[in-house]
Amino acid sequence: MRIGKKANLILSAGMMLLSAIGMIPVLLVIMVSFSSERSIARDGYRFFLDGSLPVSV
Amino acid sequence: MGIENFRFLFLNPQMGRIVRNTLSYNLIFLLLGTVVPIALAIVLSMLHSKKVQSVFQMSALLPHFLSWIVVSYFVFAFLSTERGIVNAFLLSVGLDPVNFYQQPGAWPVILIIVQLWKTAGYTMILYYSYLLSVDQELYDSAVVDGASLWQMIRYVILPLLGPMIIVLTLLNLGHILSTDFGLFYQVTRNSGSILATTETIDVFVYKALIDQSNFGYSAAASLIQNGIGAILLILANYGIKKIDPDRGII
Repeated sequence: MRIGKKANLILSAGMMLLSAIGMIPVLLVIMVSFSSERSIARDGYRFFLDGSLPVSV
Repeated sequence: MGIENFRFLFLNPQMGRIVRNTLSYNLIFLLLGTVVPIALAIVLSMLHSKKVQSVFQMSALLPHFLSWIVVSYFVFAFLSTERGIVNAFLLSVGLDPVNFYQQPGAWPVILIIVQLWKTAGYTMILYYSYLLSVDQELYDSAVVDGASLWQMIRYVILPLLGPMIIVLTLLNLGHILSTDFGLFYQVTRNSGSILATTETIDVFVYKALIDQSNFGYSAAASLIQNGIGAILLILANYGIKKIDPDRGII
């Protein structure tokens, strides 16, 4: 089943966005697995600290 | 002893709420667990780029391989009152933090999102692989006949997916009174404040087993769950065969 170029572009962008959203929890799990409980207690669960750095180990 | 174990289940004052929760969640999961994967599979099959298809398939399938323990951990990472990402965001925009583990009203939405995120990808792959096996000439002839995209979905794709939809729906109907224990016990962290919307038969039976160490209760509950599931499956299968004798799984 073929769709037009414009529709394909919009759908592809939507699917990539959905992929990115769906991967956020997996990314969080990977990131937390490299963090210590102490750093999580201090900084909380966050993707970027205030200085725009990943969670410290 | 006789029917004492069954009396414990049926006469329990909380049982109405628990059965309602179980049935409501399963019906929503059944509906969304069919519609969302089919929609995703159809959209995926339309895309031109194989790379985009591969990336989406991989990211959709990955959650299927995570255990509920891991899922419960990151749900906590998102929803924790003191350290959670959602509350950090709420605070950053000047809103008050929400104690999600004390808010029963929020959990139906959270549990449905988590369940869909974890299971829709796997089901989508099943539908997608079925769509890939369809002869391209069918689509081409529909285009030649002047079918619009919606007409092609309605009159070509959905009828082709019919047998697969029937099989998966019938299999799910067999588990209509069973719930994923990991989703309702681990993900909710067994929080007592949200039991009104999160307690299902499996969670109730597990707690009864832990509190009272009576294996008869869990055996009776399993018997009821499986018995009703089997009856529903047979009835649905019978109904489908009445409509179309070539379909059905039994």
